[in-house]
Amino acid sequence: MSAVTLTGRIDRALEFRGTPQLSRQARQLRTEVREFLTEQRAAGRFVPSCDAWLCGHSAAFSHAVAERGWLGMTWPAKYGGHERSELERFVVTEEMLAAGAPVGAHWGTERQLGPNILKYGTEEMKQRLLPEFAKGAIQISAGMSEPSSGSDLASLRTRAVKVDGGWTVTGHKIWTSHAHRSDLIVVLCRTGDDDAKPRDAISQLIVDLKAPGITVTPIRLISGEHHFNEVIFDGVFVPDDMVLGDVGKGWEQVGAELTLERSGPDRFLSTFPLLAAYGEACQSGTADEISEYGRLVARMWPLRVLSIGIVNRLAEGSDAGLAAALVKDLGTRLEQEIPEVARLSATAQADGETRRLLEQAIVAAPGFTLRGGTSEVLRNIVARSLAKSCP
Amino acid sequence: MPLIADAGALLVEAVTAAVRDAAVSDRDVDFDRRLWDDLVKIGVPTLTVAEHLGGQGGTLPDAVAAVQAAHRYPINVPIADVAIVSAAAANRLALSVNGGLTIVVPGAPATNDGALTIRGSVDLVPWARHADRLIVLANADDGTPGYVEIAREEVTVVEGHNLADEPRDTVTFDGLAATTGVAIEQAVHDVRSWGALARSIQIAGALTAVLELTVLHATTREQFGQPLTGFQAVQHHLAAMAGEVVSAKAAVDLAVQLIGDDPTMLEVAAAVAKVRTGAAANESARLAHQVHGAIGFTRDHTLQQYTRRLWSWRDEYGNEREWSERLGRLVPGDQLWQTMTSVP
Repeated sequence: MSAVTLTGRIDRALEFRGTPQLSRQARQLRTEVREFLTEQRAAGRFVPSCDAWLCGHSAAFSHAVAERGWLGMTWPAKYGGHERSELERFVVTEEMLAAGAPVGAHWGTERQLGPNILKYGTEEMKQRLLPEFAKGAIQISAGMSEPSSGSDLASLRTRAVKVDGGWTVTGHKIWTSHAHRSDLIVVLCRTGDDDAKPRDAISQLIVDLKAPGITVTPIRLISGEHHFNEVIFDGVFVPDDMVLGDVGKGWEQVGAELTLERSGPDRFLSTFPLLAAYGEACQSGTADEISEYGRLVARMWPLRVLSIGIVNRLAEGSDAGLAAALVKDLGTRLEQEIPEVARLSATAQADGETRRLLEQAIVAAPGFTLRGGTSEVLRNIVARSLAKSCP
Repeated sequence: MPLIADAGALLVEAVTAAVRDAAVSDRDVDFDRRLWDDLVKIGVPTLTVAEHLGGQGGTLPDAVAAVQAAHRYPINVPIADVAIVSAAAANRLALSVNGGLTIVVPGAPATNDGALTIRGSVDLVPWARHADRLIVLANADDGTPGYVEIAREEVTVVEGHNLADEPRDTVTFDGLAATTGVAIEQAVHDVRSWGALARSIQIAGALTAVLELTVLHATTREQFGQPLTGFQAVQHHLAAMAGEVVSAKAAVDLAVQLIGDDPTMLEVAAAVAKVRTGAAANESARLAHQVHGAIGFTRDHTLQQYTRRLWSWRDEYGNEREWSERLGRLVPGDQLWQTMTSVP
């Protein structure tokens, strides 16, 4: 029998740093957020929904959240932030997601676009924009995908041409969440030669959605809802001071942004309201129904642990691309599985609240494993990392 | 006793050296006495037993880390059963440990006519034939729990095995007087949880090795002019396996944290761990064999030393069906978020 030799390299590549205990401040914060959410619900400001971080768009709710100091939580105070820890921000976001609260109006801005401006923006840009984000006063969308460039984002064709004092942008973006109700859009575009490598030829330009030459057309999902748009740019002028970071460095900049987009608890909590409702309704049901619920709980609970591990990695400046890809792959598949399982429970389906959430989840489900990086792409990323860890 | 900066890490290092030694020496025995003695010297079997009972008074996280590290190799010693299950029983029942190998026998049949008498057989007792002493936990037909601690010689043992050829023996009792009492009820109830936790830890340890072996195979084996990792279907299998492995480890970490934070959460903790590691064992064993191809399916190959263990451990101390129902009842939906956010 051949003896085994292990190196442990893969273990180290996959290590998730745990957190022994959240701080007293973080636990106190959780209580405050729960009280806030209870008040908001009682006042009729929202009804819990699945996928609320995309579909639940409420400027009023986002303002209320901002007023509590829960937007831009980790940003420096000089930019309107509140200088709290990443884990404290995590507590706020997971509470809102679990409650199915309508955080959609500020989600993209707060989760990734604001942080990217904090990282790459000029001092002037940061002073001008970040406080407005933290107040919930301005929203910004992400213009990345194009009709011919989805997973293969580097093949994008939207082009920015240098002119006096700035750039003119021409092109066609698709799947831009909330562009129809945002103020700005970060456009990933080609500034270098067509045959140059993406990592040298792509830039991020922040475009005013009220500028002339922009057409925003709704995309309706199978739920009938309008959250996504096509945005056409026809020679739109963008001043030099609205270039985000360095010209030609857009690809590298968006990489960090994508990790933030992929790494949060929104990647496994989208159908949590349904899981909780199913878990309550099925208690009067069969042993099998309860067992199926328990099986889903056992899948979800460790994902929270892994998600916290990612927060720790990001907070200490470590690369979290592999971890984020893994957790998003696991989490989004689970988000889909929850309605698949709940549907089969007759006891759960007999409960009005569960059925309402189930219907939301069913029509939203196909998107989970597509948005923010398809599962197929994520798995390629993971496999490449694993192979690299081998001698 | 001087404070060591990271006693847990040193423990894992020592255990890893011992099990690696055993693996390299390729001792083809059903009980690796030398490895057992090494682990006794390091102090793992009685790590969490209270000092006044003869143990080291160490922490559960340290014991779990040591046991998990040990199971990265296909070892032939009852370290999980002793360090997790027997240790918990000893603490709960205030039994002194005096060196030697003590195995817990759960679910022994008993009758209650004034006094509790253990009579009958228990199947699939792990490692019974190698035990020096047995802690026998019984439930009478009227539900009264009881226990007795005895020498191995006082019972009859018929040898048996699980799929991994690990000793799983039938122990027969011929009228043993058992002690009853309120304190015993919890111990008897909890043993299934401790056992489930032990198997979860073993699975998590083995899975890290299975993943490493599989990735190694996929990067070195070539077909159609490229390593297997060149094929997307194989890449996706590896990624799926990595997801299962990190989830299994996170589930064990979570269980340990839950128990440390609130000992009454033992059953919930065991349930999450056993359901998640069981599912991970299923998926990973299947994918590992798929990626390894035919060569991995032979008795000569290393892989089956792991997969036969995974196939055995996932069904011991209750499988996913039993524990997922238990979890579903223990944490109904209206308590789910509260419970999920209890730690950290």
